[in-house]
Amino acid sequence: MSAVKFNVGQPKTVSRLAALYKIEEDTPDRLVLRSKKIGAVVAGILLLLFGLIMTWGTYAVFTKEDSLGAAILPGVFALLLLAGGVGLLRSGFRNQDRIVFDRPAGEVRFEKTKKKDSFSVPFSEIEKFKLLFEDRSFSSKEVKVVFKLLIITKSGDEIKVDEATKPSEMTALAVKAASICGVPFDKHAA
Amino acid sequence: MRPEEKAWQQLPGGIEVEPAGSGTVYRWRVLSDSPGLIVFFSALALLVLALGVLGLFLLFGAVSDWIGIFKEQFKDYGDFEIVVIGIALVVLLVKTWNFFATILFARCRLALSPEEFDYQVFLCGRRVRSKSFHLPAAEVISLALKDVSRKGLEVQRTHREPFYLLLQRFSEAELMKIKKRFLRDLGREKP
Repeated sequence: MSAVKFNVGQPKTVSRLAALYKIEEDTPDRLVLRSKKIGAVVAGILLLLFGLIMTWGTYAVFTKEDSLGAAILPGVFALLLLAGGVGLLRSGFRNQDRIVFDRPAGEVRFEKTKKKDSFSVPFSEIEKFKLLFEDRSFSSKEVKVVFKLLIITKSGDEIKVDEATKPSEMTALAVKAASICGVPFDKHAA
Repeated sequence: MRPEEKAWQQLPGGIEVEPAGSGTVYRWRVLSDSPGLIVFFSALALLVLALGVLGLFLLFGAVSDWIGIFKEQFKDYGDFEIVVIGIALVVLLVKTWNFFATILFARCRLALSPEEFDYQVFLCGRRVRSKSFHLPAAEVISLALKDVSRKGLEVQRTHREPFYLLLQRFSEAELMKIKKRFLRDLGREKP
């Protein structure tokens, strides 16, 4: 008997999010994750492009209408886009964030671009690793489920390691990290 | 750093501390003191405000067109598209104004002692009841970092829903120091 497949409702767009970190070093004693720069850089370039288009539009309105009033709103908007674009590009290029699971040192180090924001969590403080899923769909036509890998500490803190839409990617990372830290991995995502 | 002061006892910049009776009072602004951020969010808020006022103006024009007053000035303002744009702009203002008002004008005050946990959020000098909590310290189970960039520091309570302190501007490292300090003031952790 042949199966009949129905599509109910409108088609849905499946949005994907690649992991925020890539593996830089993977040995039995150390796992080093390095933050990807590409996301912020591409977003910065796009914002800058929109900002430039908006600036050109503002200039066109200003010269054609010869009215400052008509150019104020698009001008402010263009400036905001340009400022946002420059900010994203700058933070993207300067991003040096790393997460180091270091067995000899017995700690997970979150090394941030700004040294003052760096911190570490001793293995003895970690209760478990946990995979959590979050529905970030923007509308009913979109499917965007993000899997977040978290460190759960004994004092109840939840510290995010990485996130992606592919659960297998996060599960593989969690297994590696948990084995280095010697703590359990709660794979039953909630 | 004073010789007797440990690293975690140093609070990040932007939090004012003063002793009060048997406890300590902390005060901070929701948005960072960085001029760039203040200018960026102020400009964005002004833009949203301007668009909201424009929306109100379009709706006023539409109503005027329908009921026949200022007919010359607001000719064709009653068209469907104009009304939809007007409503969309007003909805944008209504939905985002609370966010902008909070990050630009809100001030937080937290009084901690082994007896009480008094958290107050003030907006232009007036207390925001929905975001303020005054409870016995015994009711606070613990403080935890949860989804830091969006929510801040979670206050876990006995048999009640947790609530969040508006501390999103601080990094995880800074929040860890703040958490230790707050727990010490509540008499939960010895330095």
